[in-house]
Amino acid sequence: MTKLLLTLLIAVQGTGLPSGALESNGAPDLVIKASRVLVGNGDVLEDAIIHVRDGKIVAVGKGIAIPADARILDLEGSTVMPGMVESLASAGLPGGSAENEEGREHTASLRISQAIDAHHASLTRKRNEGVTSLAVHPGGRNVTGGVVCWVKPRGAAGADLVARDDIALRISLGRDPAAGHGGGRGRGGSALLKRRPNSRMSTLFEVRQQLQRAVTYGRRRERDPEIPPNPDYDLTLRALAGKIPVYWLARSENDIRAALRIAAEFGITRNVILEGHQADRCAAELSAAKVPVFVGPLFHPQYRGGGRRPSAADEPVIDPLQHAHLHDHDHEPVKEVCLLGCDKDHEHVTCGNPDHVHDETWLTCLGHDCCAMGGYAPPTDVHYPAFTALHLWKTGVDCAFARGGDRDGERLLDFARFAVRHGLPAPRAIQMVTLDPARILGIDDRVGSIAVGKDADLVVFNGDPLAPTSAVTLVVIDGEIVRDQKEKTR
Amino acid sequence: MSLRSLVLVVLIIGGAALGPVAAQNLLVTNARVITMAGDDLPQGNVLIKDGKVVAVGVDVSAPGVPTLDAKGKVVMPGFVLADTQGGLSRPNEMMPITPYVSVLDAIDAGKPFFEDSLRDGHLTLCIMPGDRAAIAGVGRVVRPWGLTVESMTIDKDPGMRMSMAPTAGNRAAWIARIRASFEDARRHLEKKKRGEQKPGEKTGTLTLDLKAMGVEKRRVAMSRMLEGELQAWVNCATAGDVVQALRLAKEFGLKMKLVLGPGTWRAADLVKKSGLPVILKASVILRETDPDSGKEVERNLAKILHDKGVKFAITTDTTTFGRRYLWYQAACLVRYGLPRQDALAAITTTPAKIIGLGDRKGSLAKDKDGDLLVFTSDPLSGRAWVDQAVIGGRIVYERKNDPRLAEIFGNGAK
Repeated sequence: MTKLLLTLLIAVQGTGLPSGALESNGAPDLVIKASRVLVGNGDVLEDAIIHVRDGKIVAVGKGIAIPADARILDLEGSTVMPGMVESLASAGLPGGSAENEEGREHTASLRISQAIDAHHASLTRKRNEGVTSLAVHPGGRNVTGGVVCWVKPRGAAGADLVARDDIALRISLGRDPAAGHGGGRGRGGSALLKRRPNSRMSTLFEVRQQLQRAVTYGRRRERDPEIPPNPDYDLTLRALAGKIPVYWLARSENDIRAALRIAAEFGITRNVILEGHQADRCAAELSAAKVPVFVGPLFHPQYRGGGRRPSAADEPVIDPLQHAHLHDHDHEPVKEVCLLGCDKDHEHVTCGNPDHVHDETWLTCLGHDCCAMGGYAPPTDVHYPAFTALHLWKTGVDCAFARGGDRDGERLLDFARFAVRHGLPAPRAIQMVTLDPARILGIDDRVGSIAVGKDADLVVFNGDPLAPTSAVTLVVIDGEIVRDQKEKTR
Repeated sequence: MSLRSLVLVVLIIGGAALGPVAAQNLLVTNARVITMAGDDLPQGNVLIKDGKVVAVGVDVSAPGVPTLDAKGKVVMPGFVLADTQGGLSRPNEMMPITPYVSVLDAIDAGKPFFEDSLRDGHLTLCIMPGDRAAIAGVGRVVRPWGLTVESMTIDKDPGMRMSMAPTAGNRAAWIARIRASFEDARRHLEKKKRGEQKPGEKTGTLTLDLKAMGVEKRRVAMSRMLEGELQAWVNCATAGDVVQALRLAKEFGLKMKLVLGPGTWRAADLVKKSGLPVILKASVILRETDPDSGKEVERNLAKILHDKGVKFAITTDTTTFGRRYLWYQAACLVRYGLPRQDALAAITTTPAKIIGLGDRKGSLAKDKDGDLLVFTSDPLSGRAWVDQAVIGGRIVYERKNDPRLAEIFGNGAK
């Protein structure tokens, strides 16, 4: 293992900008001395110094000259790594959860950046676990949800946390945009929200139709500039022209293939797959098309024992292990329990609407939130996304971890920890929560690694970050200490 | 034969290959031994004879005993899960007072939970009914090895699950129902002591005597608690629940164990004063938002109790990965600031003591049960796998013969 740890003696003075080349804004420089520095690109520096001025890293390495008035943090025994980059978050949104505009199916021009609440505790939580950059997404309940933004959870009062508001256009495939469209909760098929799409086919039809309409609109605008502008189409056209990437929520293999197909049909050149649980099944195609994949969550919400009820929006994740469990012993027929007379072993109280179709895998009503399940704890031996990541990495698909949760065991760094347990090399695992997501998001010019000229976004651990026993002791964003373990109220 | 039985048979035969199953003798050699009874051995041997640990030490040898070379690996006692609903088919009774039911009838030996328990090293499992009923039924301590609940059983009735957190109606009514049940049982007991007991009426057992059905079936089970024969495992979600539980314990002379959720942190002093055994639910962190400032504060029950000097066991139910990885729970405790040895105790010696098996489980010392785990590396490193699980001197699990791991890793365990 330690063979992999390259002790790079990055040029003693050479890498630093010449002293005095940057005029300081008055705040003293910050100098961090640490026993180990994980650079983020796989390199490891032992007993190194990080010199920060005006929120930027101005030097990294050994034997760097320290300005006399600098504030020195001597973190003997600690490991410093770049602030983590969470690529699929809803933190900072009202309620800290998904923000959905459901008035229309296509809201491509809506910028989620406008809904960010700088003071929301969900941002503080992410920051405290060492996440210093987040790509905040619109919710998945309509097909083209809007524009993803990049947020730095600095937490400064009233400060604008949005570093960039045009990271990508998000398109959601699969069941998410179809969820809830068949009818309202418990009201059969008579609800106001009854509209298209309510099937996977229809969702894909919607995507194509929207793209085609944008193309037609573009042509008409060229011919006749008097046509009133349509911001949704304008944004879609930017995506078609490759000026902004398209992020496809596509968990299952068929959705991923559909995303690739539609991208090819319309000549969309910049594509990223979100939550690609089954991306390993089309690794060759993804690799050939140079489409990166965000993998996560590592533990699918459905695997929480006795916890949250699976929602219709969740995709089944099929893996051999899971299959064996489900098909061999979890399907004792308990017909009297289910009001619908289905033969699955689940204790649920359904809405009683015979029109609702049951999902065979997840034992819940498809597209309906009306079936309450009690005591249903699905088998849990699934780290499928960990294997997906491993496979994608082996087959040369660009991938990173994303969509960490807020609890121990489901955080972004836990993905790296468990992936290492399952065979991913440690330096790579660190990279997949720092530099790799930054590069895929297109923000690696500023964040993702500890390098001269980049933002001083750092996390300090009291041991190896990949050991589950290690705790975050310090978080620095833009050169400012935003969390100090000592100050934490217990 | 279902795949489940097949897997079990493969696991069992895989284990048996090393020696005759009946012998239950095993010598594990050259391992770093975490004994949980005194200091660790940097390199030592563990000798098990007739299912019991005979010796742990550097110079232990036993010619003719099957030997398992664990060079470069870490050996430690099997983990003890002090409170779980795993392995149950539908753990929750919806009626609030059902002390007469037992998990005996709900444990499904075919559940993947038991297989996973071997993989994760959870070798002693105290299975309790769910916590949705006020008085929810009797639990059972089992090992995750065997094809029937009878063959898996270690202890028939460790205790009765109770829950102070109402799942229906208001809190006062919930507590009143519990109290009424105890009062009724107490009257019944007193009647019995005065000799007014009807002939043929049985108490003190769970025998399905037809005459003891109806109201009697409840009294029978409740009497056992009043007589101190059955301990109460009381689920508390808030500090108020702890107060109520302690009041009940005093009023009815109940022997009690507290199963605490993070919301009980305000009652930490009470918990300490009570001196009752404490089991922590899997999730120990409570986030509270100050209504005025909107600031969120994290309360860590494990850290709060540890700082007050309260020893506790920790469980796995309701974690993000289901009921797995007690080692991860212990690693989290270290992350929260507990010393390593205390964190390990929370998944070995302390839970063993709490479930009444302190003299048999939880540590590797002379005369204890021959239950141990061979880890590929330090169990808290986050990278370790259980290579072998040994119960009573039998190797009951071997990773290299684990068919499911072979399935996902392609060609056998890596």
